Amino acid sequence: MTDDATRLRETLAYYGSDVRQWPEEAKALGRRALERPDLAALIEKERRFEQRLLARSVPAPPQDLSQRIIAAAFARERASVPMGWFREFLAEVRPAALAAMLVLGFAIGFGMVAGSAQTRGTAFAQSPVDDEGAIL
Amino acid sequence: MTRRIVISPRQSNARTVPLFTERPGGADEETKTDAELLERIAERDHEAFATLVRRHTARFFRVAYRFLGNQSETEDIVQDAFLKLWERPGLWQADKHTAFTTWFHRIVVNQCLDFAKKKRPLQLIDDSWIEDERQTHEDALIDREKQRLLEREIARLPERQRTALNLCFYEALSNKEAAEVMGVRLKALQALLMRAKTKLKEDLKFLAGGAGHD
Repeated sequence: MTDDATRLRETLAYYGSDVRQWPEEAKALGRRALERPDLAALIEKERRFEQRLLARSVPAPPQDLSQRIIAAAFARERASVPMGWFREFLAEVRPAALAAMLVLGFAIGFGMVAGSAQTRGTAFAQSPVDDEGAIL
Repeated sequence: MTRRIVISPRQSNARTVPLFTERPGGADEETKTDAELLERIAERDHEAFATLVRRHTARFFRVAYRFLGNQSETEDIVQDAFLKLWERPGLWQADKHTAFTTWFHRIVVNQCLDFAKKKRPLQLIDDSWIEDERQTHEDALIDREKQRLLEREIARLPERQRTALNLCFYEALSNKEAAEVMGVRLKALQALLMRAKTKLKEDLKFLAGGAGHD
């Protein structure tokens, strides 16, 4: 067999029997092959093989498959909403602003705790009952 | 050949759920490129996601079915792949110069291969969906038998050869795209393709007793 036949076999395996679909650099070989009966027979043989492969068919997808996928995605999103707002919040807020808010929250919280302890202390101090429960 | 699809129980039980309210400009989504839709999806745009799913479901159903040969498993794989995309749209990066479809082929093919590995080594294709008008005739039975034998021979190919054949021949991806999907070099892809076709030609010739080939 000639070099052309070997190259043609490889090219047929890589790109199929339709010479028009071959890359530009291979088309010259295809055109040459179509003019030579021995090489044209190889192309025809590949075409018959491809026909045979096409006997393999696939069912159409169910008509509602896309809708089911879309519904599943959005349902999952709805299910994750409790954390979703927090993630969105974190994405929106700049780190510096977040840190400032944390400090402020801590300060307010600490202030409230301290204030409440002070109030409790005052309340005890003014209690009209002694340590053993006797009214003063 | 006219084929009718048998409705699976899964399909007939499915509820139609109102998905989202149409927004003005929704029709524009259809004309957007995949990359544009993905940008919107990253911003949690429901309509863009719906458009992308509608545009590509049939294609990737076909891809997965050729690997799995089972309708309900195929539906699950395709659904999982799209859900993954919705949850993590950043997985596809426009700046990497890979077309969305090439990238998504890789996602679907990998999911199929992982699934097949976990589930069973090899399964012949489920052809119960084929309900041909000529089913009672001999030629329909012959067609079906031919398809069954072909499926069996393709299923027997080594995994990488089968993947190369599915992508290049059945999905008509270019050699370069298929190599990208499989994560191999172009020459390696072409070698896989060559071996797959040579093996199939030999097996089919053997099955046909030499008729029609050579």
